[in-house]
Amino acid sequence: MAFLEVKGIEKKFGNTEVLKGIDFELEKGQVLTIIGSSGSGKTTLLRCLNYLETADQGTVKLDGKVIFDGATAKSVKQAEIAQNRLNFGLVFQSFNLFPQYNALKNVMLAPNLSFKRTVKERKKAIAEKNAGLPFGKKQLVCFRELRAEKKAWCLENRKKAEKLLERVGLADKMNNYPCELSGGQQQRVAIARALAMGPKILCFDEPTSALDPELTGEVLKVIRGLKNADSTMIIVTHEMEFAKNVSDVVIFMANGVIEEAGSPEEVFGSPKSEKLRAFLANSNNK
Amino acid sequence: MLQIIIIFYGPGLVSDFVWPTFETANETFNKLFSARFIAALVAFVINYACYFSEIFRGGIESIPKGQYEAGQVLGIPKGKIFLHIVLPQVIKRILAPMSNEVITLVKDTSLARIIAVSEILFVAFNVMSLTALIWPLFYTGAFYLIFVGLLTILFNLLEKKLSYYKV
Ligand SMILES: Nc1ncnc2c1ncn2[C@@H]1O[C@H](COP(=O)(O)OP(=O)(O)OP(=O)(O)O)[C@@H](O)[C@H]1O
Ligand SMILES: [Mg+2]
Repeated sequence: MAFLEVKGIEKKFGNTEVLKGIDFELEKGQVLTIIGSSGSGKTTLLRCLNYLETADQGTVKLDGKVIFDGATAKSVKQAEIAQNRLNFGLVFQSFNLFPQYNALKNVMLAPNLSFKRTVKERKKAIAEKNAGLPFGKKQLVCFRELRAEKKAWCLENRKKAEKLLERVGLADKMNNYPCELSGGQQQRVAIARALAMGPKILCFDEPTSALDPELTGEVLKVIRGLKNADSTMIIVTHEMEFAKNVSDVVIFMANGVIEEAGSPEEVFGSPKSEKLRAFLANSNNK
Repeated sequence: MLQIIIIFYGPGLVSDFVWPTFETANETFNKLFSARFIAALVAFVINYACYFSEIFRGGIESIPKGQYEAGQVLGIPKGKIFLHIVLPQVIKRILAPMSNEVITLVKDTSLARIIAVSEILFVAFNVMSLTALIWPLFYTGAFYLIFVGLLTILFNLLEKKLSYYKV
């Protein structure tokens, strides 16, 4: 059984069918790249996986557990979706960093907020642990323990964020605001931010197409680094060379269906369908 | 101005409604918080609530969808997205139109004299006609200038404080 199983995803916007039944599987630690011409539904597919759009039909199974089912999608509770969301991370084409926070805070924000949600439970747990103490002393001890716990956690979160930023090669830019960073640096912060919540699968939607050619290299290098660390990734890209090198599986999409899928050697070396051949010829000419 | 007139005289024309007064023993209080004052207050609140809410709406709508989506995929709940991601950017964006509107509001208070609320310009005119001196009017002008000047400085400071990042 594969790590990620996507079956029969269909999505309509009004009357236009954008996805017409997408099936694929992905093993843990593998990298899947999706190629295809503009408008073939690549972005929509990633957005469906990340619950930014709700697919009309189909199922998504992760580690044998159904995390999305088109038939019941409408009745699923918001909290459950929020929980399932954390399985996936998404890096946007347009970065979408939070401009009012510096690089470090961009990375720390989501873990920080999710920690704050657990504070209440911790408070209860600490109170229960110290239930035997006399009145007054109990409150004091609880308060101190909670504060110490919070402090330790904040420190750890900060360290983790710094490590992530180091990993994407931005150790010296932690305190810079997004407006002070180049596009490539912004995108690398965005990657670190996505990694901060520890997603099981990281999705990239054309991470380099908003960048100048000389900046794409640094971002692609980071993604290669992630591959070496055995991350499971889904990458939508127009960089054919990169797709050839980095991926374990390549999917070619056209008009909302998977036209061809296979190893990079198969897809790039001996394309079967006419559409893929035309697409590859076209992208080689560029 | 029209709104003030309508709100003060309008209800009385169509019904028996009379703007309430709060009679107290304090003479100045009665004068200050007369029915006219209440009516002017209501008119300003209604009018400026509209302007300000419009500014806020524009500010909130000007935040790109990508900001919400970036928060969503990080698993941040909706309320927190608004509070921690959207609102700070909205405040930065609406500061300039807000300062305009607040300054206009200061100047617009002089409109209340139309229903004989004893605001600063109204009083100045009274004193002027009683004493045949131009100075009260001049002082009033100086007061407006200083008040608006202070507000401008304040808003500039705020703007500078928020200019550490660009949206
Ligand atoms: N919110 C929407 N409402 C209506 N139609 C949409 C919406 N989003 C996407 N579409 C349509 O879905 C189709 C696929 O869009 P999608 O963005 O998934 O393409 P893509 O493969 O990512 O293309 P590109 O390579 O240019 O990014 C397009 O024809 C687009 O017009
Ligand atoms: Mg796209």
